[in-house]
Amino acid sequence: MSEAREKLRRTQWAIVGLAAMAIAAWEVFYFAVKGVPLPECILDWAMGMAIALALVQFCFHIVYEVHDQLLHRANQLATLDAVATSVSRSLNLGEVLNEALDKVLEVTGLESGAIYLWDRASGELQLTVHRGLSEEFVRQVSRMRLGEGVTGRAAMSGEPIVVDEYVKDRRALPAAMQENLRAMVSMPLKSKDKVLGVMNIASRRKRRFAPWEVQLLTSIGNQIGVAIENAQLFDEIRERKKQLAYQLENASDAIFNVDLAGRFTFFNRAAEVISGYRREEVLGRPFTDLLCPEYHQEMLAILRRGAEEEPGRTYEVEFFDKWGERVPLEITIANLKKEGRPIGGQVVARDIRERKRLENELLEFMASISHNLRTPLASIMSFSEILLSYENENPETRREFLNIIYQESQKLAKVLEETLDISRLGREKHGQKDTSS
Amino acid sequence: MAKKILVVDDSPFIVRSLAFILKKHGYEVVAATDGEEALAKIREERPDLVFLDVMMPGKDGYEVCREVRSNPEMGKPYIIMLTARGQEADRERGLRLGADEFMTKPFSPSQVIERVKAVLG
Repeated sequence: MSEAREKLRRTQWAIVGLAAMAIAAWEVFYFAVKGVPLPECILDWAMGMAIALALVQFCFHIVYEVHDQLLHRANQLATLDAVATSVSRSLNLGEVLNEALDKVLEVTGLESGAIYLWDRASGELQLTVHRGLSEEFVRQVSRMRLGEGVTGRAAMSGEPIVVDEYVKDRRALPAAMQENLRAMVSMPLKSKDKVLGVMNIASRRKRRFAPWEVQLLTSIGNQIGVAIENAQLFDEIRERKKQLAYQLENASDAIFNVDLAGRFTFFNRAAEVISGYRREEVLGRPFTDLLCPEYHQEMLAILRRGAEEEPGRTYEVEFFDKWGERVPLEITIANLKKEGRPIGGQVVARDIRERKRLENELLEFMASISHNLRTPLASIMSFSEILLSYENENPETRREFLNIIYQESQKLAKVLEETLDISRLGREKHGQKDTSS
Repeated sequence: MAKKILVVDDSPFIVRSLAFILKKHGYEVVAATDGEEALAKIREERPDLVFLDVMMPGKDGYEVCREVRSNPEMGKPYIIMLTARGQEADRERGLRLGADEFMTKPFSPSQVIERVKAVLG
């Protein structure tokens, strides 16, 4: 019995005592002053007492009732609060589930329980934590389909299911009977109307679950659901962060971050390979130590005003590698922000040494073709013009010049043919069929 | 006395055509077909103007140009470089090394004469 209730009971008997004394005083007055005979006075007292007792009892019955209700609500809230507090203490899914199950068993005074989580990949409910169940039973019920058994039904309907007497319930699984479970509540763990799992609590003794208990358990189920969702989101974010870090680290492009002062804060593996520096050697140093001086002004300006103005723009810059060689890089710059405030820039850099080399090779190739075409053409043009301008030249010389024009035309044709051959070869190498021949 | 012009090119036809047209206009023409020969001819013949091909086996036009400009004994011939590549980078490099002018192949003889007259009078 609670202390508050004890106090109420003492008050009740005090009132009864006071009433007895008041009525007695009244009757003494009648007997002594009014001369009413004693037996009649005693009878009156007794009747008065009976009425007073009945009245007090009735009033206090109502008071007790209200008191109990209030106490009950307060307990429910306290339980709910206790569960909410304990499950929100952690963002680790395993800890959340263990904490939730322990707390619910503690407040319901039950010994057996289990939590299933909905596994999107398999489309099944997966037994994740349990208490007070035999290994054999756990093995048998470790996976449940939607609609299977009591657990599967609770998950499907999203409503709690109460089993008061297992042996009489058609929904019960035979395994549960072998486990000697007699009564159980299966409550869906929901967050925003989405079922994330099911929590079962069971008793091996006879046990009735009052409507208020089921209601309380439903509220608890929602609390746990929210905690599970938070933990799952946290896991997902952590996983993604890890993945992102992995991708940044192992990207084929060099990636490095600089803070607003231009100091390196991140340097991935490709950056190490391209630059020849280990990250310990550059982190904390200004990036201008590595960037060739003619690019300092432009890059510092971009860092200051942020790269946002021209997203996706690429720049060609040159960095010094560890051995002082200039390394041409094609870079893109993205702003780095933390809570909406700029904290620096992230640079993705591609080593374009090979591309530059090919570009130069191509230019060289074009120049050599141009040379091979221009030289014979120069002779042809010169001698044609000479023949046209000096019509009176002796036939011998004119013939010589015509011969040169003819020879050089042939050379020109040959060069053209060779050039076409080369371009044809190049095309075939790139997997295209040549349809022109 | 006729002005002396040295024509340097590894292609005999270019040499032939330039020599022909220049002689027709009364210039004295000396020819060379590679860099070494060109340097020797410049030293001996003291030409007033040199047509100098860029791409030659052995010493190329740039080198000849640089040596002429760095050696006061070579006199101060006007140097017109001949290029068949037509690249801006070549032109810049030639001018930096002390060439006076660039001419891209193919060129027309009348254009050549025009330039020579402008330079030598």
